[in-house]
Amino acid sequence: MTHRYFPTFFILPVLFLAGCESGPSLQERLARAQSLQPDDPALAEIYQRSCQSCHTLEATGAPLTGDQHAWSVRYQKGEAHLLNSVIEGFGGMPPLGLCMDCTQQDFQRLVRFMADQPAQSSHTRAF
Amino acid sequence: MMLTRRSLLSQLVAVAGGSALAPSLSVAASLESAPSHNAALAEQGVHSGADRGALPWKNWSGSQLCYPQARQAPATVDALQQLVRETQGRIRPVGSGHSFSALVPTDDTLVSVSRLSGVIDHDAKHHQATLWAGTRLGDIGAPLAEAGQAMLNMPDIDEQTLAGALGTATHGTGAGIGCLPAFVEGMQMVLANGEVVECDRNQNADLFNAARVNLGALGIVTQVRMQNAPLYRLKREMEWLPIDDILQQADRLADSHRNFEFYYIPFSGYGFVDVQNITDEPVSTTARLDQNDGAQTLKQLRDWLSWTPKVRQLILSSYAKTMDKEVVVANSWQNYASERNVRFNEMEYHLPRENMVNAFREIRQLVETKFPEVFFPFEVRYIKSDDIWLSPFYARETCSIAVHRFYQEDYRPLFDAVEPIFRKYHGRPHWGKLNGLNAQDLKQHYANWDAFNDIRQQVDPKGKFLNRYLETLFVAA
Repeated sequence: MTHRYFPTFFILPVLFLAGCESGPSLQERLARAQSLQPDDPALAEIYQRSCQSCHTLEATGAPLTGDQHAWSVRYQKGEAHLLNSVIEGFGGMPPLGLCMDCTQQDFQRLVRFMADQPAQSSHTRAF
Repeated sequence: MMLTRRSLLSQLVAVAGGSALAPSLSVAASLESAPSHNAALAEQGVHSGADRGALPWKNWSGSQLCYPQARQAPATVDALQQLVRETQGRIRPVGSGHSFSALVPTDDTLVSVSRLSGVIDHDAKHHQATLWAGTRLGDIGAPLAEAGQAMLNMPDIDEQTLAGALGTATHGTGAGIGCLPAFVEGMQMVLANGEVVECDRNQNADLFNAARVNLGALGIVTQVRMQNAPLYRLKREMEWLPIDDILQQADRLADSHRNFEFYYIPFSGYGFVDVQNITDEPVSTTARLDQNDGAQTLKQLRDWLSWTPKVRQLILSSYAKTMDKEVVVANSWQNYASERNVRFNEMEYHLPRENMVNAFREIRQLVETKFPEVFFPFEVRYIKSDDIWLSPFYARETCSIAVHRFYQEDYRPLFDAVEPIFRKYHGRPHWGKLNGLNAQDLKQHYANWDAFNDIRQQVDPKGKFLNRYLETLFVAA
């Protein structure tokens, strides 16, 4: 959807903000997302069939795997909040995040992997 | 860009409505705070499930909920056979949870074939490929392209598994193209006794006729042989037009483009047509609408202006006139589907093609006089007839009309009011969408209803694959 008229005063601040953005570029974050896999083969198998197809593509709107900035914003709400989003579904992600056989612990490990958090998180207590 | 678009809307609203927005804001607040059917279900589900230590299963919109005793995803056909053989109680197959109807819920065992995923082999000569039934539609395009093939058509979302899409007669748009099950050339299933059976037009032909659209009621589909096409590229063109112009041209557009559909923005008088044709042009794109942002914008406008339809139409139509045509050239499998991140509930009926315009006009009139809270676009698509027993497109050229409600708002008043119009025009419901039809109603629409049920009883005499909803269709009737 485009408009024929693009007021300059709207565009300039956007360009300015884009110029000030720090951290890895989108290309770098996508490359990192597409290169990461869980160490545990069983978890990797679940990740590949249930998470990877959305969390490695920008267009889906899902936070990219390993994108610490994107995930830290979400982690600030607590791990329980994130796990609830998986179980309830969120945006385009269906409830149980496409993994119909996963346990709560599987989801916890997947979220930590994608968020680049330690496997034994201090957030455990929250859930 | 969204900042600009939203600012433009805000300015339009401010000019038209001045400071008199308070009434509509309160309407919006009451809508969202009302204990809707979905919200009540969700709340009940999460809390009681947590108490029992079980995770709930819900569909994408949250309108279907259950607490299965077991959720299984066998990694091999052998493991699936063993599971089916040994499971006591009912089994329901589950795909991606994108159906709104009650096909999945069970308190017993949910079985996902998500671990049976990918392209198994392909036949270059006939442009056919055999796929595992658990493959997500969105994961088919790339590996199929490596084999030089592409699906003949795709729906506008691609989250569904192949098995789920076939089981519910999922479709794309195109007056000369059938629904996805119409592309099926052969299937492999695990039946209730654990046996693996193959079927196609020559082998177990009755089972094949029943299984291509099966509601998950015959067994668990494991493999599917699909008729595809050589790789092709599509040019997609989207253009905003007054709805009366669209309706006037619809038949011609449907017949002159490979894929044609249109959307109508309620309370605007405007919609947009979306046509696709095969092309050799290089891959390219103009700036594109983010449809999820678009839905949020329409919701916001509803919140502000639902109390004044005339002003709402003025704003929306002014806004629609500023839209440029979008043109996207891409590989076919990358040009059909869009991400749908704003959740909704949906009712979709498939009507005889010649009934579309009259039905559409009645639905529009109803919504725009009695349901100011509606903001999701109506979607109208075309589907070629087929010969599949429980296909809603059986033996008739079809036009489908879909209406939606935001997932946090009660869909029932709208759907209850619209459904009689669909029925009046001889509509058959999409199997995966909400509807109120019972077995007797459905039987009138399907000449092979009893034949399907006979096959079902032969392959599943104890009803292992029935849940409560399917029992009402096939046993209690």
